[in-house]
Amino acid sequence: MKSRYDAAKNVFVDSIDIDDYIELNTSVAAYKQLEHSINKPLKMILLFGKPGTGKSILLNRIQEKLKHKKEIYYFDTPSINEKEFFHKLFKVLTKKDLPQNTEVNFSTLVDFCKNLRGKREIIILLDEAQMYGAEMMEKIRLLSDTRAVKFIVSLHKTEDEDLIAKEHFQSRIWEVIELKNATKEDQTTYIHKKLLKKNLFEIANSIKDKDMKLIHQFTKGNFRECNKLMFTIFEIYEYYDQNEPAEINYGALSKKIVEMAALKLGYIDV
Amino acid sequence: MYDIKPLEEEWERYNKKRKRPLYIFMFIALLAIGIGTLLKYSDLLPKGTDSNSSKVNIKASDVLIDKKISKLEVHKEKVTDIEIPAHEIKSVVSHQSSDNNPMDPEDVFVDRDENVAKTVKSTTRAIVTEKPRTRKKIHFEMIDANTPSAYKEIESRFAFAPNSDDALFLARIYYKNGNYRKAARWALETNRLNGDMEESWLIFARAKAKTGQKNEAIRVLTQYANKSDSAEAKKLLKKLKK
Repeated sequence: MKSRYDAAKNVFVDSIDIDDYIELNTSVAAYKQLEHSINKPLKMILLFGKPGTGKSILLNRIQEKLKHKKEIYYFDTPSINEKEFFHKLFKVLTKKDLPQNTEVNFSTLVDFCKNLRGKREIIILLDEAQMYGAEMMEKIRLLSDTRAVKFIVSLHKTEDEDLIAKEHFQSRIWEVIELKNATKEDQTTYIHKKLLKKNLFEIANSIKDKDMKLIHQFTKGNFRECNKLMFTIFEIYEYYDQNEPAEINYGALSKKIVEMAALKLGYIDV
Repeated sequence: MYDIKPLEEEWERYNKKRKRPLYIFMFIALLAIGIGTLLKYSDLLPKGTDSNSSKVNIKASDVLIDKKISKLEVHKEKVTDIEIPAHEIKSVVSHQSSDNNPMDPEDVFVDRDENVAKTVKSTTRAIVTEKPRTRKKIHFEMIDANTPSAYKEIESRFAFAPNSDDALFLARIYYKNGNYRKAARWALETNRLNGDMEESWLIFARAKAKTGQKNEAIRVLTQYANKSDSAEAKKLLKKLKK
């Protein structure tokens, strides 16, 4: 027989599935800002924030929402090399596969884009753009200059990548949207909504404000870390539920178990 | 299956480590409370009743209960600090010794307001009731240093808190009362605690001489006179040698 915590655990499997999207005050604001920026005559938009702040799921959601209104494409995984990237781009622009043993000529592609101006408005969502090299980013910029293709570039905000963002996009990006870690209130809503979405009312109610304070303290409001911690918490609960049920109180989240999960994930040390 | 046991052990270690500062704080707090209590009670212990002292000081924190005790106590909320002139205490003591009351002469009750000394039913103590201007009564007990009960009190106190002043006091009082054997013993105790108290050497020598151990008295006194070059000791030595 499956433990009740098995379902709770799986709620927090890290994914960018649009079905898992939880509307929060901050994420709604970011979504609206992005949607507004897309409608402006901008060439490039930079979306950046620390890993786990919800950039990918935001791109995913915007694509899902706008796909019937606009010509929008989501490049979730970065291309290994330039050739592969232009193959993908060729297919998007021409809606045809590139013939075998042929390569995209960049100048021809730029000219093709120039011809599309005023006829089509193509939006390309580039996730994990920190994986692209400087040369590649320069070519993306040249394509965006044609005004036929609008790029929304998602970038991790680390010290080095922040530098990349400054150097490459400072003079070119017209709009910058920064995603930040969630507040305790947002994180509480996130966890509760996730559990309630799967009808796990009892478990959702067992997580009190003091537990949220502890969870927020460990994860610093990062959604990815939050998912990891919650997954581990319910994984431990699942063990106790199946093997030592007397050890757990079903009505309240155990501080000990939260700390055990935090120890396992390295948030705290012995 | 999730391997939970190592994680539980790790959490136990973490929990112990986290609580360590709390335990240390609690230990320090308890230690501080313990030391504070000890100091408080050591303050309340009797310092010896000296009839020559000019004043008796009673601390606000001291509480006096009408029972036989070895410490001075005052109800804290009633009086803050009271000083009783020595002549009032002396009058009580002198009254006791001269009155030769058939009842126990130590049991004297003095009411300051009425300025009358009354004998009251009690066994071995003198009680002085002090009425300050606040019109609240303060009770405290005194032990007459010249009574046998006082010696016993001081002797019993000496057992757990040896003090050269107490020992010298006993040596002096026993010598005065003619109990030379005990006087010599307490003089010896005084010397053991503090070899520089000349009076104890002199009492010892005199007590030894009185008990017929004149040679022992001369021997001890000679040693002391040589060591200290005391004029008093030399004078007594000369007297003993005659």
